[in-house]
Amino acid sequence: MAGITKELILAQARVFGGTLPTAERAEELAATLNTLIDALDEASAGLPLEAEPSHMARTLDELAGD
Amino acid sequence: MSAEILNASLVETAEKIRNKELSSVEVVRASIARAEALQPVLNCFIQLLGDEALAEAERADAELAKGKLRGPLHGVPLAHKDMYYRAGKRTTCGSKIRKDYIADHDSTALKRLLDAGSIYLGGLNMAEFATGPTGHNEHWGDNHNPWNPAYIAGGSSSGTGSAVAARIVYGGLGSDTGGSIRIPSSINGLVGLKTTNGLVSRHGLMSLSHTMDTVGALTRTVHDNARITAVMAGRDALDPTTSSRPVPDYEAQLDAPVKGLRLGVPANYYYDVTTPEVENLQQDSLAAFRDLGMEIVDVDVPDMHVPTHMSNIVFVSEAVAIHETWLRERPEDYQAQVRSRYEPGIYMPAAKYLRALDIRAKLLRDFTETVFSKVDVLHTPGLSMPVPTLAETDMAAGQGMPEMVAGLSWTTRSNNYLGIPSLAVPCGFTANGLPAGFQLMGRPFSEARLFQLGHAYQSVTDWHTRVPDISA
Repeated sequence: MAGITKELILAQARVFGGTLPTAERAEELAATLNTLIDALDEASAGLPLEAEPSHMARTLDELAGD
Repeated sequence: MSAEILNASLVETAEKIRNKELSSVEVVRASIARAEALQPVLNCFIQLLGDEALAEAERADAELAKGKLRGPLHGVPLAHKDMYYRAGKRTTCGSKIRKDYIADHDSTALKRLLDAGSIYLGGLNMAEFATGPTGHNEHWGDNHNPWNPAYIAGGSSSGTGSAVAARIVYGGLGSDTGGSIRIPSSINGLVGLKTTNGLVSRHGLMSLSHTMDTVGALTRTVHDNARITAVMAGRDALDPTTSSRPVPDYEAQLDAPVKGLRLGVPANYYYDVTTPEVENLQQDSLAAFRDLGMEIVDVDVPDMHVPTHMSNIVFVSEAVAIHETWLRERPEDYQAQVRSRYEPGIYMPAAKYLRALDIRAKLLRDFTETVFSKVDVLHTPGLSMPVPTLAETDMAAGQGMPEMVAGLSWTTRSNNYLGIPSLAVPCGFTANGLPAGFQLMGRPFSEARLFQLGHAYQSVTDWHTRVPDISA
């Protein structure tokens, strides 16, 4: 679990400025972020860190067809 | 006469201008008249530049009279999503914040189209900052669908979808970061290409998510799309992410036989939310490909929720990097729906964003090796549901609206993260009278193959020749 909480969102929002989210919206945002980050952590477990965008560009080129 | 001029394809019209059967002035006058007549119904233009276009058309005709042909688009009027810069001219990006923005440089893609002889008719309506799949825009007014103005025109390239389907222009640029070309193409009954990341320069346009933004065209025929893409594609020193690969002659390969090629039908994910009515139209299109001699193959695809989630991480992070200052200082100048799309990026840890970029190449490799080792091209629905109305997808619609809006990009979003090309092609109409389409996906830089299949399909069907009946 990524561990983003409503309280963390609200605290960061006060630092960021702009429109402050309501408590309900902060809860929604935390849930969204946790879903995305959990998916990322699962998908990227054990993979080495490499530089972008050259690696992506090279892979596109390598896999090109037709 | 005007209808006859504007119902022709881009390729046919360019040929007639070149052969002096038609003048560019005649064509541009017809375009301007139709644009002015339909603007109150469709609201597809933010800036209609009729006088400027007419002056350019006169110049094009004068040049042709002297034997000078600028290129394969000589004298043909096009209009583009209002986010492609022209030095010294206004580009709004569909926003209030940039309503008076004057760029100091040209978009490479647009410049290449102008250098090839096309005429710039104006800047088209779009979702604010290219964010949103419906065509709602509080700043410039909602864009309407020419098949029925109560329905959405799609987004974010809403005006391009609407103007091309309404036979105002023969084609135009959109941009696609998660489906913003393919969604309005499917919704308006058009052909739309999401290019391979790196095929077309993004220099000189307002970025949304710089590692996923792609430039491409919406047209009525595949042949027209191939021509525009060929003009724009290729290395640009001003965009270091562009590929140095030679650009194939797409038009020369359009008529290559498709018999024996393998067309994949995904066994998982893509049909999870597809309605039966849309699925039936997909089956009909697959039958047409089968009749063309293609082998239809069921194929298991990787879990597409993963690249879709990764694309969301990248999108919100990169969008906030661009919009941070305005989100702090001018939050009220965004539509609530747009601001809420960026908002998660304020709180996304930088390490997670970088990680999402790091696994991108692996996920691309997984997808390509899993799918394209078995088939040449993958066929999916372009849109999973019948086109909804503007009211159904408005913020005021309440419960169910966010899911419906998210559903519009169910089949498109992951491809921008993976970087692969995808071609939307119209394949019929649902019971509400609105168009439906399918999507063809291929290996990186396989645009020629996608055009070949799309052209073969259009050679045995006539969906692309249907004209919306719009009362001005």
